[in-house]
Amino acid sequence: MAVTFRYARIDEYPQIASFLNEYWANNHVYVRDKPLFDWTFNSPQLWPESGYCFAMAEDNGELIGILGGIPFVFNTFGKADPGVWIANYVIRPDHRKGTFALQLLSQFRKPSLHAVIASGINPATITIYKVLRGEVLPYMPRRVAVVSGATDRMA
Amino acid sequence: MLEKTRAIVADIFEVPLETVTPQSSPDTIATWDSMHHLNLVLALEQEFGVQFSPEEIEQLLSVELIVALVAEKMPIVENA
Repeated sequence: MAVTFRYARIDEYPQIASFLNEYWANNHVYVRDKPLFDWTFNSPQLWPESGYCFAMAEDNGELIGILGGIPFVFNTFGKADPGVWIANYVIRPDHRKGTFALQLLSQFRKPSLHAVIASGINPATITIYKVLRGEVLPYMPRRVAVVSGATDRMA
Repeated sequence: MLEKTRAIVADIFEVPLETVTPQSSPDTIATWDSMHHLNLVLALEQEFGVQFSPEEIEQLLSVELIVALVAEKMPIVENA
């Protein structure tokens, strides 16, 4: 077993869609709607690598795991940095032994991302994020900025 | 340290202690997946008072590798 990890090329949508259909959700919207998949994971202006912001694990060239990253601008009090929301994280059942899932997640530590965020996590996976030095928040912090003169402009 | 590590590994992966050897790894323990691996890391950090980086966590793939890395990280206790 020689498992390798890399990011998906733009021409690999058919393999990803097939894997999503079989191991994530049958007839998932990303399987039915390539433009939506492209809009979500193909953001050259936000993603420093070439191709999709989508990590793949392969065993001798055969796809055995995927992890999507939805690129976004992480804005902290006006300081903008690149970040990704992770999505569609699944390893084929016959390859769940070992640490392939962990190594797949590591693909998003390599680029210079300021934030890698998972929202709505399964409580059973909290340990994963804590051990990997992630911060687990009980709720999503929201901040509201009151822009001077905004109410006048909205009138 | 080897005995403590073997006991932790047996407990986390729910296998008999006598089956855990220095060569035990994901190849020999059927329940050794990513979730159990991270629970193992957490238990090791608590037991030995060490902390592993995410890169090191990926390298802890056998009992003997764990013992070696923990030994490297543990503070040297000198006799008074």
